[in-house]
Amino acid sequence: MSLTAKDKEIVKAFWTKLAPKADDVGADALSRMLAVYPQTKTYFAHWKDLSPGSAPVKKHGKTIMGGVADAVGKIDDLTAGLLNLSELHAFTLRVDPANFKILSHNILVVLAIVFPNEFTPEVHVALDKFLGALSRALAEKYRYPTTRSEPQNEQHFSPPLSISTSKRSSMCWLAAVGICRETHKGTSSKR
Amino acid sequence: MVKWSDFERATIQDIFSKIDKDVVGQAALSRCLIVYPWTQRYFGSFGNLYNAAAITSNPKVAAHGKVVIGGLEKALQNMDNIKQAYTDLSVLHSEKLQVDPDNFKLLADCLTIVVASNLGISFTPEVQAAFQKFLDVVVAALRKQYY
Repeated sequence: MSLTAKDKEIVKAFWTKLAPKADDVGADALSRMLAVYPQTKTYFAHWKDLSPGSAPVKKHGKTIMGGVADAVGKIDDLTAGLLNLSELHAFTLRVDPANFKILSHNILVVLAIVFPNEFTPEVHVALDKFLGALSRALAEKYRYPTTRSEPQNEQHFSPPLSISTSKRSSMCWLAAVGICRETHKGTSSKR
Repeated sequence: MVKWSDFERATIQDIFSKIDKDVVGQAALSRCLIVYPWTQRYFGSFGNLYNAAAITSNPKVAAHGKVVIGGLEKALQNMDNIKQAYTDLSVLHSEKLQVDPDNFKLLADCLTIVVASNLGISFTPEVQAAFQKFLDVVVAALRKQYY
């Protein structure tokens, strides 16, 4: 199910309408995902507040839509264009790719609410295909022999022992990949 | 047995009282046939489904959309025992219509999107969660008699 020229045209045209509201759409989609599919909360256990519209949710919704915007720009070759993001999701975040579909669904629900007239069935199918192609590109590196060199991996940090193990590991690699600015007191996040 | 909170019961009843049932069923079914075109395999007798415009204006699709909503209302009236209430419907879909049960989820997703579009911002995350739980239970009940 690859994207036709018409699909790409529809996606790009719709994106121009969506772009000014992208941050809100991202925050709302993420809020819905966490509320409607509570198992997805497991990826965000390090956030203080997982409720709809909270600060970490808003911030991360913006990050996600930044990724989607990037993908729209690289729509002619998503696999190549999203290689770095795929590596991030595959080796560092290790998000089960089934969740991409869940987030995509919630993005579409928000679009139906925000654009009740423009989100026609034709736009819906083009966007669904696009988000599907995006998800596949994100999953590209998942079962791939890695060319990365040995554990100078971000996940092999040693934060102070006063912090619980799970919090340590999740905070550290997030800081390392620039997603989370928080570091522990007195510990630098990079080795 | 599925447990419903007071919020969930009230919310689901409220959704069905607010939506335009004649429109929502038709809109969801046509969206399903357009967005997931392989679902058209079950509607060979419906005539012209060749493009989105044809599907949206097809009277048989519209009529069948109402049938689907009627089915959901049956679940609504039997919320504490949807599995039981759906026994015959499940047998119908598995043995006579021979619908791949994965398709139920596709239609459910389209229903969610159409209801969201209908209700706008009042379709909050909490309302969405209740509605999708209801649809999950309906889908599970429809799948029950499949072997």
